[in-house]
Amino acid sequence: MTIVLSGLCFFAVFLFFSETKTNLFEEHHPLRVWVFDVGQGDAIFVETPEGRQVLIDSGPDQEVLNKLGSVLSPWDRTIDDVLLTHPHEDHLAGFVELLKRYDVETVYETGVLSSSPTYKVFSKVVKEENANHIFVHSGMEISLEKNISLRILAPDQSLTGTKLENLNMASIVVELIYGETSILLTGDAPFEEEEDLWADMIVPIDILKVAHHGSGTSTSQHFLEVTHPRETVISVGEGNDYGHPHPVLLKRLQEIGTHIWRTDQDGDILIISFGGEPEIQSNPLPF
Amino acid sequence: MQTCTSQDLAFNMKEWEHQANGFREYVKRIVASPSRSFFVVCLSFIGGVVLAAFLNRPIFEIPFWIFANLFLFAALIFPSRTGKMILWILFAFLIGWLRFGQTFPPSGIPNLLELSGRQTVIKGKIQGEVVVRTNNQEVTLVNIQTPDEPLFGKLLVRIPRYPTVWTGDTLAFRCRIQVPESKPGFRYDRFLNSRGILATCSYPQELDIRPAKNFSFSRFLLQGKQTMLDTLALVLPEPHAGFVSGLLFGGSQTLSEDLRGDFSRVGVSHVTAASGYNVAIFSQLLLLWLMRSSLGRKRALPVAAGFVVIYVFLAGATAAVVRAGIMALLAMLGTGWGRTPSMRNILALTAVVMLLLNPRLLFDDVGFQLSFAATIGLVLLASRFESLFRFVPETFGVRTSLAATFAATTLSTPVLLWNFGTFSFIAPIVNLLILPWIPYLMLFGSFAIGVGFLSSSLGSIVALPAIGLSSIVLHVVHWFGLLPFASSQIPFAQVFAITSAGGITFFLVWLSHRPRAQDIDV
Repeated sequence: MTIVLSGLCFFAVFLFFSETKTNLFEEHHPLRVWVFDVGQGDAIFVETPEGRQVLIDSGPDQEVLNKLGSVLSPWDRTIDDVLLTHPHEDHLAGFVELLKRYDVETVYETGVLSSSPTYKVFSKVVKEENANHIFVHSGMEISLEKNISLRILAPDQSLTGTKLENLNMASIVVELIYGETSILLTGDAPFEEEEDLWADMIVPIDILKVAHHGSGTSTSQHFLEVTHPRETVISVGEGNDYGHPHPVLLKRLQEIGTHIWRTDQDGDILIISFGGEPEIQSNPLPF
Repeated sequence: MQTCTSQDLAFNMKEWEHQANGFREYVKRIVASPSRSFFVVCLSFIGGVVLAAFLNRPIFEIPFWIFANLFLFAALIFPSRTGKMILWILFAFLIGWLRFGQTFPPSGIPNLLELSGRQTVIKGKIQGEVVVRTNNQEVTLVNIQTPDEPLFGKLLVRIPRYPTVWTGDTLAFRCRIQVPESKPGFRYDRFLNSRGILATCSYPQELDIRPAKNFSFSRFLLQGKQTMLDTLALVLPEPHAGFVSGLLFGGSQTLSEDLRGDFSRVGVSHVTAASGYNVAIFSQLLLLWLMRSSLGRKRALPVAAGFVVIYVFLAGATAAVVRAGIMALLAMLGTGWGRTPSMRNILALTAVVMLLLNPRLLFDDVGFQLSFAATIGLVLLASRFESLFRFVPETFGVRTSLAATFAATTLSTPVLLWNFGTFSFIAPIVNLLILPWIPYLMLFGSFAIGVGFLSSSLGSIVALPAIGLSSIVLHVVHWFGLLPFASSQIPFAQVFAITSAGGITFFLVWLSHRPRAQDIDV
């Protein structure tokens, strides 16, 4: 019986490596960015070649924990940085359980006020976590390791303690840069927030995570023409109530000739980069 | 037209007499055996519940209660054994019927149904465990009060995932009261009614949570369980933490919808829903351990019984869990008395106890039906099937598991067909592939919790075998769930359900008349 049990455990290890496309024998590890299929919401996980882990948003529920459980080593209970783009449920809710279970070093957010009960619980667990709590705005840069950084492009001023009618306007927009690779993660930023983004950006970009799950009121024609992403990813839930992604947006994307990846159709999406042209593929995780 | 000659008539009379004699013999055999009499009385009680459920309306009960008392009194003093037996049967039947009648909302007292569709301010106290899902919490409220008056009935309320509420907390809010409706393939309304829930309400406004102030034992137990689950979540990553906690304590609400869908498509949902199987494993392991401990055999039994009761409560006290718990208790009681009660009587008494507590389970709780069907299958068919499967190797208990799986599946198929209209062709295979690992998973999981209490980092190393096994089991379920024919919607499923139920009954009767070498009295 012991033999069979150990055999099964080895098989499980094999499955883990094959499903996460991890090559143990590689000399240089790549930068890996997962856009998890967490339903209607965002959860993007970044792992640098030297193993620094960043989670940007956490989806609408605990699904993100299943995803992390599938891509992290089974004993790994630490995440270096988490970043909350804005305190809406579909970006925030997964963080509460995540912070309870994982050791997080630094929490980044804008500090914009929110009356949501989930945000209150989130603030409480962040305090209990004893993590560095940093409020960010444009011009700041989070250096992950040599050559790899997260540049904050929006919001353009500190929002700590401010109240906003539309919290999407408070969305943190970050550009992940590794050598020649640039990946733009736009949270739920609407048209108005896009306006002054490209001034600070290196264009064209490689990959764009389309804002607001493919809503028609984000990602304008002009914005697309300027940034001209080669590949676009839409993080959106199958059969969602909002009609995302909006057909108008899909048309805009098709017109600039970018390749469209959708988490509702392609499942989890994995971006791999060695610092040059990034590779992108659909790689649905089993759970 | 056929004519009847006197000769034919005489022959028929003889035949009839012969049959009557046979019947009389049969009755005598039942009366002579206390074990058989007991079984028949139990069946009669269930019969009473069945009749009341079919009539499904409250009756003017007082004369029937008088009758029941009379029967009981007469049964106690009646001289002849046969007479006593008939009186007991009548008594049991009436009690079954009357007990069902008590489950209707009492007339004359205002109940929740009167508020149906209305927006209103309501206050109530959380009873039992809070069901925590990935994106909401579900609570059952009792002691319902509106500003004007108290109302009869329980209210099921769905509230946001955060902040977390606890059993015993009082909730006050404004909400639109809805009467539950039947869903296709699931008589949700009747299921809720069977638990005393008359109405539901989703995402109330102006929610005010007042934490409980007094100590309550159930709250204490549930908090203990939560501490164990939290520890498990620290040492196991998801989805394994959710799965193993489901195995240990029932409730797989934190598993993703996709995964739960896979479990149900391949016909192994029972594993995650804290089935009787888990309770049986728990009580057996516990008893083994306690009997070998310094407690000794005599004192081990009551301690084990206490733990089983607590475990049943912690595992959510669903029909399957209660069924297994009562059966385990009865078996322990039998061991304590130095007698081995027959499986048939244990099952019958378990059904009677459960239906006495809640007669609505019989028709309105699919879990109750499935659990009993599967257990009857195991009791009556498993050993027969095992001798049929001689060609299967015995290594790792494969043959026993195969026979058990087929036995349980055979009897639960009509129930599944009737209630859900689906049939999973691969269920026996998947069951066979994953069930052998469940006890190990439960063992590794509890071990990891134990170590995790001391140190979570050490716990996560100790938990590695559990993670590996859980990963394999979940993969198997996921892979089979991908198959397009994993579960099939059967046309005219209810017709098939009745036909197959008839066929199986016929088969069982035929089997019971067919003696075999190593026959055991069940």
